[in-house]
Amino acid sequence: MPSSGVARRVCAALVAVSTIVPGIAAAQEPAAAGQAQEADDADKYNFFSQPTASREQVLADFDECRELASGVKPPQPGYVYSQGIAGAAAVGLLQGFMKGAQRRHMFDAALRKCMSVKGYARYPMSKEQAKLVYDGSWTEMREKLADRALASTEGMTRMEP
Amino acid sequence: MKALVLAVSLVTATAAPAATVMKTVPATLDPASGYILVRMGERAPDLWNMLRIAPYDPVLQDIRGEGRAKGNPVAKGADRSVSIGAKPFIAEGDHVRTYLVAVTPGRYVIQSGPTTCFCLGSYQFEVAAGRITDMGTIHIGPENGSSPWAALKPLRSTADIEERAYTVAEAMQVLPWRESMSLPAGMSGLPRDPARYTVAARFGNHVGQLLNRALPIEGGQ
Repeated sequence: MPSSGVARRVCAALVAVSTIVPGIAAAQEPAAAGQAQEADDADKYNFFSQPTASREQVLADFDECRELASGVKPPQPGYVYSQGIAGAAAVGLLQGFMKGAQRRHMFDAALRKCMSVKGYARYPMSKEQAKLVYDGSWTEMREKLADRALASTEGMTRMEP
Repeated sequence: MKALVLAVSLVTATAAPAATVMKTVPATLDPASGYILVRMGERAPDLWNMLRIAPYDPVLQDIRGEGRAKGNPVAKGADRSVSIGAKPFIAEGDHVRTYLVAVTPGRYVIQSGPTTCFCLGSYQFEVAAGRITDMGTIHIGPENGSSPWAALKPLRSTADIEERAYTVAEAMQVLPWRESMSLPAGMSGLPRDPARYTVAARFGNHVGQLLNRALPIEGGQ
């Protein structure tokens, strides 16, 4: 891999604060300001769907996955299980700076894995739609997320988990 | 008060010693202790895995003393968690290390690997006193195509997850004991039973790691 590619990936890992589910993550970690890139909106904003589930099940799944993902912590110095060159470089650099954004990325990855294991598909939504859904207290947000999860996704393109 | 002191004394007196990862195969087993034998495959060339197991409450579906099972802690002095790392081990060969660990007898769950909690589904098993429970072989590796093991190598994460640091979850394959697995010298004369795995549907992320579910055990358990 060319070194410029490595640097780009390291920088992306360090400064990107985009999140798949900004509202849920924001409840765990304050967002770093002004770092998101509008061009990535299509990848950033999305929702989980399982129209055949009951509302009670969807709410329970969101609660459980949120709780499990909330516990994720960034690795400590001395960590040896780095995943690729970007990870190896990042662990020794700007440890404190990266922790907030890193934790958000880890939260997103954990939440997506949890919802995927529980049978949910992922679909994109616009930034405007995301602002409406991922807003308010968790009690309010989970009801809006359940509405989306139970709604039809006919005609929409499913994302990879 | 005397009754309380007596009760505390009894708990203290009967508690097994803390988990000990052994360097050699003992000639005899301590009847008060349980033993776990496990083979773990390399994560990558010259990089060995870490495995954590913990006492499990199958009714409350959590680690004893934590989360939903906070009211069911282990006895004072008993193992609350058992970690097996690169060393010490009792045998090594063909990219697999074999570990023997003395633990407090009881029901355990395979909790996590180096980076991932298998909170979304793992396996529980009983460790009997005075006997070796053979966990078979465990392979753990990241879901990014880098694992050398056939069952794990095809597993990938989405591109954005693979490109970020520390967001790729690990997969875990549990292979129950079978005759073709290696057995360290000196082990054949000791009482040993294959682990009887049953599903542990869930438990809390008390280790603060990424999340995943263990791969199905061959045969559909």
